[in-house]
Amino acid sequence: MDYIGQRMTRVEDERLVTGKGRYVSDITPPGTLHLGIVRSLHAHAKIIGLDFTAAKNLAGVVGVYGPQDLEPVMRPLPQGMPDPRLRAQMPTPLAIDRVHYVGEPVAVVVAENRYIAEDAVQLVEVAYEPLLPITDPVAGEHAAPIHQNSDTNIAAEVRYMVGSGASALSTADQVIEVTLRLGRVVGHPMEPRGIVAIFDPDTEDLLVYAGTQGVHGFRHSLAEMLQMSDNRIRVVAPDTGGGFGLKSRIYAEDVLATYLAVRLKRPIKWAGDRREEFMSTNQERDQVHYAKIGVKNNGQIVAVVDHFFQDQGAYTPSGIIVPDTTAICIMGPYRVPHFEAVGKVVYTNKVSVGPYRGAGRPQGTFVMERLLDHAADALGMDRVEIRRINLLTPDQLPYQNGIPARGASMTLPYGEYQKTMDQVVAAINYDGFRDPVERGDWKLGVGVANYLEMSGGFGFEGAKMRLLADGRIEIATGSSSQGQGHRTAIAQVAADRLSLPFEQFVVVEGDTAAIERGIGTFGSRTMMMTGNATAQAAPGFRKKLLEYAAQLFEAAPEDLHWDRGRITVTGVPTHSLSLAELAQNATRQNVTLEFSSYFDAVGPAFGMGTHAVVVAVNVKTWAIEIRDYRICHDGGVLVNPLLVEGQTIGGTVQGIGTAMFESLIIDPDSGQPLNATFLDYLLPAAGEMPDFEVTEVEYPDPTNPEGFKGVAEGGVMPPMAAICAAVENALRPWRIKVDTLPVTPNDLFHQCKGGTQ
Amino acid sequence: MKPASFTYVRAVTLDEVLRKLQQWGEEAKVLAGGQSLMPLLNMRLAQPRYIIDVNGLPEMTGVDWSPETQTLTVGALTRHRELLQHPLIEAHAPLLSEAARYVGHLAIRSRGTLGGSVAHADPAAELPLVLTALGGTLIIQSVEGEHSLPIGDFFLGYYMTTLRPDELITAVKIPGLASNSGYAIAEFSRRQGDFALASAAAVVTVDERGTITTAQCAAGGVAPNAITCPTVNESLRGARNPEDFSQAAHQLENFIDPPDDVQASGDYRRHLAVEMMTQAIGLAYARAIGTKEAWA
Repeated sequence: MDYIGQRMTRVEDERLVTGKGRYVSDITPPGTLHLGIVRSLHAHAKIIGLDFTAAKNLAGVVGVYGPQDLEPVMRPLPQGMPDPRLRAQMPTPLAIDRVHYVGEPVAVVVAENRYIAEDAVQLVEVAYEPLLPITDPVAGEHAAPIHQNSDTNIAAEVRYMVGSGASALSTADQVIEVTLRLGRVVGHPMEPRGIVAIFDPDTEDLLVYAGTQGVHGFRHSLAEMLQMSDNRIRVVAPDTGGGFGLKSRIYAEDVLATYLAVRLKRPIKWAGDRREEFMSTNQERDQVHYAKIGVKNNGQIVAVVDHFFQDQGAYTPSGIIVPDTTAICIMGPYRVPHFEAVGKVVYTNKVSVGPYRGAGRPQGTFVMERLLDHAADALGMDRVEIRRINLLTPDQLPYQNGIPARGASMTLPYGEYQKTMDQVVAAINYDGFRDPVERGDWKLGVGVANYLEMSGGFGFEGAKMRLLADGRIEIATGSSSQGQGHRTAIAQVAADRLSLPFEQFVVVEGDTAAIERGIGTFGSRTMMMTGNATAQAAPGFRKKLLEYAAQLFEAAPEDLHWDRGRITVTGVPTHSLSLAELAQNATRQNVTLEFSSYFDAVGPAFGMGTHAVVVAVNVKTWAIEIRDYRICHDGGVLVNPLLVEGQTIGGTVQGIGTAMFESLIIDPDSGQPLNATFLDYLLPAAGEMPDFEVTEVEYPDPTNPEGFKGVAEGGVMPPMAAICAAVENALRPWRIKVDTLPVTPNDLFHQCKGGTQ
Repeated sequence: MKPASFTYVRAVTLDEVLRKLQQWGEEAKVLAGGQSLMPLLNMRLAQPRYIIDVNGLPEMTGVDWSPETQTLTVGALTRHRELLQHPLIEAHAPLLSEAARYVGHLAIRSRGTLGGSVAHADPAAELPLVLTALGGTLIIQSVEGEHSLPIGDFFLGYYMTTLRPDELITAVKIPGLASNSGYAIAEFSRRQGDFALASAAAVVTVDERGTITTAQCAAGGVAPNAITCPTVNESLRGARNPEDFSQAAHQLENFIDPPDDVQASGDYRRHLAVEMMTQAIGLAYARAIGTKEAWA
């Protein structure tokens, strides 16, 4: 029926765009109590006193609790993605004796409603003895550790070496050094984090609604913290308004809400607000790179060496996945014979770093693409030409890039990288910018950046198919949706693999009661994992239905004919059942028609792509505008090109945010965030975004039978480098380098005012 | 982000508002469009005991043009969206319409009010800026009666004004645009709808030879409040070409000293202010010439 490959609109849309979505905030069972969190006002301080008297006396306050009052759960939160290289630090749900960032939970209020809870939060008196905060990872490397249980401030060192590493630089004709800085980006899903916990005192079971990206992992972490067994807890992720990696694990508030629900035997709700998002939800990017590239005079890369610092913030909720992925992704789609990356992960008195769309991929791409631009400039070579020389060619693929993976080397599959790049270069009319292009005060420039999107490739995911009484087929999976359109795309796969109409399927996600095991939605994995599990489950499920029908018809299964939801005995048209009729029989006879399959990842998929952008810079105001944006992207076999395009554009917009707008500014002396509202922290908005022209190419992924690739993070990888390149190109008479993100009119003004022109 | 508790009063008459303001003084805040007050309440940066909702009061609504005095009276509750659409404003104070286009986004313009914007006194807000250039007058009432105050005497600094706790702005009066006059606003912001990093407004009048006879310029976002720019105005007298305008706009450089902040350095804001002023003067002049030609 070929649903795979169709630009189908989402089955989710009607509900979501007409306001029928049901989010955590919409769920308030009768008798619910609400949490208010008392958060640290200091980046680094000793807590020398807590006084709850006034808060407790406020009408409507049920309780106020500090760490001593919640002793049973005052242990570190479970470490996400543990790693032998990591000197982990995980927070307790409330800070004990010391706070390590502005916003760290210090005490918790339970009240009849959120208004009273916030009144009480104001009345809690916390006495602090301020300590000197560490706000710079480079200076922080040798500073006194912010955590008392450690003798170093370095959380980890990430090291990779390919070939002879840095020593190969001596064989290069030229070595170009670059310092690159990426700002601290706050993820900002449209829906802030939130949780509702309902404890049933009779069964002692806990029902939890949380906007999490992985219900099973969330449940397991809660179980660990509450010392309950997993099967006593059901976690449901209802409609969730964006996640981007920030909602992949439990946070302090989740433990506080669930524990207090058990203890008080009342439903507990915490609906985080935007200010709490700014002060408590994991943040990202925030790295400084000291990178070198050694090249031959003909442009060939000899070696790439990058020493970088990850400003980790106070804790390691997701281990070192961000700096590790950064290092792994630097080489990208290029042939780099010698490579070395050393990433120092340094604790600072800021909100913790955890994965946010890209999780290091954008940083790695930024490093490589900027190095190539700088190298081309130093060699007097065209910036696209140096890329063409170094991109892996079809005859070099598959290519082992030397990064260890599963006991061997990471292997890049077949692709036609030059062809992809050339297509975009032609579409943007790159050659039209060889001579400066001006429109009055506006100087135009073009920038090109390539990327290699690494997706999926870890763990398992399942698909559990079940024939419902009405003849529809339910597919349950452990992933969960934060707006991606899984219910549409997974049904497209199932419809094709079962040769049934798309409308026959109901996809159920985000509920531990729906399927026994699951991992979740992150790392662009759901179509690769659940998509393949669905395809893999289809033959077994069909066999199960046919066997049951054969029993009913008293025929052999191989004599049955399966045609668009009707099962017919071949040659006997009167012996025919629709799936609804089959289901009715099954219900009558107490037969469950169900089949599950779990797909195990073999390796990550790799999709190469190119972005090209034209920017205009106004040399009177230094305004930067995007005038044209072209993308070519390899998403493997595309299940739904419309959704892929949405993912690509959405990621690109967030990349443009990192490139031009977003940066949480932390006062270096006090550690206070200075722009933690949407008035001052600039998200990219519709008015500033161009129309995007997206072209897809499809190189099937060899690691999974369906050939799917993840597509959610490609968009966010190259915009930073492409925009920096385009701004430099536009302002070529000034000969500036744009290596600090975000690039702003203010910075261009200061860089150019004493410049060449 | 929930407000502290307060008593909400929906006023039915202006008299009632004024009496409550006298009674409650600093403990009360007036709610009009709520576009600045509600965030302040929700972030608990303001925690008044009383909120007096003045929406719908007829005494603060409506737009009138007096041919005798050549004055436009705009009710304080006039929404930004009405500023964009009202024929009397379009005819007699088009600069107000033009400024309203820059204010926030559709939802903000649908609710926000002229009086609210003036009373809030954000240094980068557009409406205080253009009222300063237009020489607007505020009608202020209290139980003691009504008085008018030139807008230049109203602002004291960041979010601070001379308005007493018992007083209420009920209307703004704007002199009609003289013939042979042109007006313009120019602003620079990072995103559409943001407060400007720097903004400028200019109203100029030209004589029959196309020479500027009078100019009223104002700058926003570069001082604790919207400011008039007397040196720019003086420098523009007799001006008639772009070099003159640029030179006049540069008079701003020594007149303002914006501090560095998270959005921009003071130097950059100063640079932008001059640039915006140059643009505003240029456009205002072109429009004045256009008017002159239309009259001829």
